[in-house]
Amino acid sequence: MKNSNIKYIILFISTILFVDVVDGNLLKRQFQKISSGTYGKINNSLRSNSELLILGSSRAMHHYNPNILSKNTELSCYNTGLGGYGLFYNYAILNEQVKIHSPKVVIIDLSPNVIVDDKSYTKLNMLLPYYKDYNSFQEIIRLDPKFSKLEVISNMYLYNSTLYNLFRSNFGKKVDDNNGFEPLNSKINEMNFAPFNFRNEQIDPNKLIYLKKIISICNLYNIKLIGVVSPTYLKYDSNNIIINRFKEIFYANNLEFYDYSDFFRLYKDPKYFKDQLHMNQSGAEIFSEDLSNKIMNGL
Amino acid sequence: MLFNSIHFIYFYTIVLLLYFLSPYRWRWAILLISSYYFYMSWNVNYVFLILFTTVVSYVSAIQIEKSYSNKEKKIYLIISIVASLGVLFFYKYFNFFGSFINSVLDITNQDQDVRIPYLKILLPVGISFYTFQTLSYSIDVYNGLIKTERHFGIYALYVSFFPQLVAGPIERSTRLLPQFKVKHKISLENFVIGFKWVILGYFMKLVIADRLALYVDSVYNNVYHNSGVTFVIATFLFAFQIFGDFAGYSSIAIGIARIMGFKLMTNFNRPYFASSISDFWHRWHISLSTWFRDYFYIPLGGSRVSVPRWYLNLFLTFLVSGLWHGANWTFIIWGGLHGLYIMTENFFKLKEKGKQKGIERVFRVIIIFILVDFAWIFFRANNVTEAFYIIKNIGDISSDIFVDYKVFFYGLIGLIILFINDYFIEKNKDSIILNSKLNSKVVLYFAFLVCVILSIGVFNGGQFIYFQF
Repeated sequence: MKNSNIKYIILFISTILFVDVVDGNLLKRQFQKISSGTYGKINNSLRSNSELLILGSSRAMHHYNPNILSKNTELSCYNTGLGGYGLFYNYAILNEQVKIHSPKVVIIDLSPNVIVDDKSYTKLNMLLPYYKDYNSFQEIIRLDPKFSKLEVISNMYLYNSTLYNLFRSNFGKKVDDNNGFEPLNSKINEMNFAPFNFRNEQIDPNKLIYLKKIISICNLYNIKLIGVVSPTYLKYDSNNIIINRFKEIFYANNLEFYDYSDFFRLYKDPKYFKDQLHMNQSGAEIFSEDLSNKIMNGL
Repeated sequence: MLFNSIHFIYFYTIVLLLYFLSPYRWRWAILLISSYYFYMSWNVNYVFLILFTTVVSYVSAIQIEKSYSNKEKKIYLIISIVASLGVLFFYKYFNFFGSFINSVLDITNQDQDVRIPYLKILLPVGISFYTFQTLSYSIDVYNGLIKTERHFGIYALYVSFFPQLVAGPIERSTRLLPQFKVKHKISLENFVIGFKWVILGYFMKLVIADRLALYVDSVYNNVYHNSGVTFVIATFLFAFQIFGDFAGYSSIAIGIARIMGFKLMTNFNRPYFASSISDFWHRWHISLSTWFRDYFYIPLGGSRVSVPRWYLNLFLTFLVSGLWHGANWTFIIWGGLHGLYIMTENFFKLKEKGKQKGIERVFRVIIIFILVDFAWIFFRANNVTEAFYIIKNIGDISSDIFVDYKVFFYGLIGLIILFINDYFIEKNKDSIILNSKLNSKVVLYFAFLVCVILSIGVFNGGQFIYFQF
């Protein structure tokens, strides 16, 4: 092999390694500054030092208004709910939170889909930017069956496709975080939905483990944990085994559990919903008001 | 096992090590076992189909060579063709033609009991590619262009060679078979060329195709919720998605084969720089277009017939080429459109005369791109009804535009790099980008491409589009 060729091979490899280190560090620094979009929400959730923390997925994000909860409970509140991310993500956020600050109360929004929906595995690779700095994120990212340790060798790969988020965060319109709450504005316009029935769905044992881990963390740090099924447009099957399973777990641990799924049944009015699973702002405000009073009574 | 999966990286590394570390006499076996493992990673059962096609074409070819009379030779050729095409027809076209015949029976009010059943069959990956490879071998043996391959293992390897097994390039026996008998040494030249092709291929697949697919799929899979400018954008982006996807696959195939010492044919030559439709077909899926030219168009008489018959030959070639792509009317219309384009081009003598330069060439390139892109509507649409819905509504500029800034942002970065890369190669045909020479600029350019792939490539993207064919 000619010396010049060896020189070029070394140049090729060292250039990639150099860019990987420099770019990786640069991205890491900039990434932590993102305050809008999905990564902004995760960054804010990790930094939050609120006394009342909301955990959950999109239903949590759109249903719990921290301003109302804060006003009525007199506890500072942050909504960490994130669309498409369920119990694994909730666990990682809480586990990282307690390392720096223990909230007094944690509300976890639960619905049957958080324990059966398998999309949460495929979305885990979106959390790769947090892989090296947060052990809890490392733990949950490894749950993705497609994950390979080869992926985390490169810093550039860890921050793959975050350039746009950085660009938007620095040059785009600043988004008011609303303490993590993202209200929905439109109203549902379809009336004839089939009732929800998760009876035939399999409970994902991994997710059940992570729900129990969340309960253990709260026990360990003396955090009051409350399980809530927030309102849905259509009624869940009355014998819903998954909701009953949630209840069993919470009651067995002497924890409060509120099933609000039927909350708006009396109104028989779609004006409080954006779609079958999500309330709009009006619905979220009424629900948050009621829930905060209930929590207040229990505090 | 996809080229863009971690599984493949492990697989290829092991194959490469075994291949170069083992004695020459075992190498064909290592490649054959690897190729069958590669194929079985999709569906174990379909390995019997490829084995069947291999055995039939292998035995037929030997019989063709042994036969003294032309009649006997022809019989064995027909056996080989019918067996190969029969498998292809059953798995790919049975339901399509069955439902077509059923529709005809419905229209003519025939007895409802007389209907062709719908079979639940999964299309074996790469079947169209390896079938065409075995067909060309049998025909070449029949025409005396190549001697039969007596070594069954080497012939089986020719049919199943993993770099090009599932999506081409469709290699000719005259080119590929002799290469399996050459003792390939580890060569820096092959490594450099192969690695360049691989990096370019991954760039096209992960940065261009899989990124643009996020927008194109959401539009084309929800056509009734979109219209106007959204269709224009999605169709424009699809042109680059399919190019990135297919040319990307071919580049990786060429690259990984080259690292082992095998030279596969170039399958794409910057097709969107074409200045006529015939120029486009000299640049797009070259291994398929030359296959159809040699084994379909020329046997039909090619251009050495009367003018009307010549046009018919052209049209039929493109129509059948459309059908090759898939058992759907959309592909047939796509092929038919290209047939019409090429007939019109020949009729009005619009093929370029000499080399155009400047504004005339730019104008031609744009017009050809628009024509090709229009035909892509049929290629991408889920069915003919949706294709016509898109065409009907594409001019509606009053409706809302579906915007995905993230796709546009990364897509634009990828397309700018692709354009500069292809423009440079187009200008300098013996470009250093794809030969064995190295200099600091080229090394830094490929290092840059690797960084772009790692930074903005889509790593959880889907399959290669052409796997479905």
